[in-house]
Amino acid sequence: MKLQGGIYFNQDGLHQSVRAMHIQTELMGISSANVNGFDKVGYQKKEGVISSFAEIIGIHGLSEAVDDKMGRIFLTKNPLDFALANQGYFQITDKNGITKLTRDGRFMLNKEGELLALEGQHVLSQGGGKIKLPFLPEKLDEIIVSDDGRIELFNPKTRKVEYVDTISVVSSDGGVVIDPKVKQNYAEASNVSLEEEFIGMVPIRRNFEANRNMYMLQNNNLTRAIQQLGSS
Amino acid sequence: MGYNLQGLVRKNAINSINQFEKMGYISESMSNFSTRAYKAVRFEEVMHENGYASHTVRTNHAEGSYQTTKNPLDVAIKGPGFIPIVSKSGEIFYTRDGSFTVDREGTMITTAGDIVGNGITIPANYEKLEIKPDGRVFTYNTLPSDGDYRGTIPVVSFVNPEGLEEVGGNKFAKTQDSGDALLVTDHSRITQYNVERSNVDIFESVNDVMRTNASLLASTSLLGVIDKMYEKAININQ
Repeated sequence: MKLQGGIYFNQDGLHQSVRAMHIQTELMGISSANVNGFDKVGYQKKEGVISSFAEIIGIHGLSEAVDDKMGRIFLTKNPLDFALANQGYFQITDKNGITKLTRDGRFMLNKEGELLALEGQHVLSQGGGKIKLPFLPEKLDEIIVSDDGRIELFNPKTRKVEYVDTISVVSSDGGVVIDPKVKQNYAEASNVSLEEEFIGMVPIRRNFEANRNMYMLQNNNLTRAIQQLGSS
Repeated sequence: MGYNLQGLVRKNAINSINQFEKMGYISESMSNFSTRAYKAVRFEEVMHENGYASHTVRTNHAEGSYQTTKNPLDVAIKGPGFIPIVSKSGEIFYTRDGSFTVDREGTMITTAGDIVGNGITIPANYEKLEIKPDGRVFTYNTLPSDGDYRGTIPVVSFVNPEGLEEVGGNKFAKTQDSGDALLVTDHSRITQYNVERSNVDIFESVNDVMRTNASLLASTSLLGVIDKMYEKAININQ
């Protein structure tokens, strides 16, 4: 639209501002998810990635990337807590046969001796099956898991440590991780740093507010233009 | 993806509430730091892809440390296992708190008043009371003499102790998940003049408090930030 004095009014400006506000809201959502995941075991930080032409395609120009750096590892002293000190994921399968990847290595045993994740999903072995101990140990620290994920169990009858199975650790594309560095008695907190998240949120808020102001300015101008042109 | 401000407010509120609950469980563990044979509870949160976390409460059945006492009726189980006890209403529970006493009939009871095993009666006048490592209780009237056998403190084990349900008062009840109680015979796990301390790690608890507090504060302050944004988005023409 050409206004008086030959100035062009950006008709799409209002939309652009709205799109930008929408993107900032989504970015806020990603930050909020990171803040909520801060103390959750195995949570991996998400990052918003804005592509070119986001001012035109709006929210479709935003994608989420997962930061697969290692998180903070802490001692839990539970022999069935495993942390991965390398990149990679455990595989767990639920009742419906859906397999998921997780870095949350807090496992438990049921009375059949099967290794389960906290919500009852089976932990998969390198062979792709469920991990089942031949018998349940009297004390959990009779289960020994080495760095490469090999599970061994002390057999009081033979007084020997016997090999049971190997925990599957895969990369995000499904390939086997050669050196997973499974740490027994440890769990991994998230790789989120709170100060980074809160500092990162400042520009998001400011960008939101700037776009809101732009919207209001353009809206005012448009209103004025319509009124002035309409009254003449 | 697909966040909206209303959803964000909700997620942060839920996280704050969860963390408050977690604080409660941490303080339960900490306040039982000096409870005999107390097993620490852990509030474990599992994060889902949709941004919400669910939680389970687990009991850590690791052994605590041991403390010697001068009371002949203090016994501790060294190694895994539980002592079955019968409450006044006739229910069977399991405990590791072996600081026993006797009631006025001379029956060995726990501090909560539950009968140990199937009832061990100890006479009032004895010179010495001995509890053997396999749980047999002997009293001696004159020393030296052969003791009189008074009964046995039984020890049972469960295939999956994590499945036991904590019923309060330092007692556990068996469930479907724990399996049945199996009587341990021919053992030497009972030690007289000892009590088991709790397995609460105070440093771990403090660390947990700090982490939970950080998450709680972060979520509540984020709630405020998002609320302001929400307000500005609604009142865009003012």
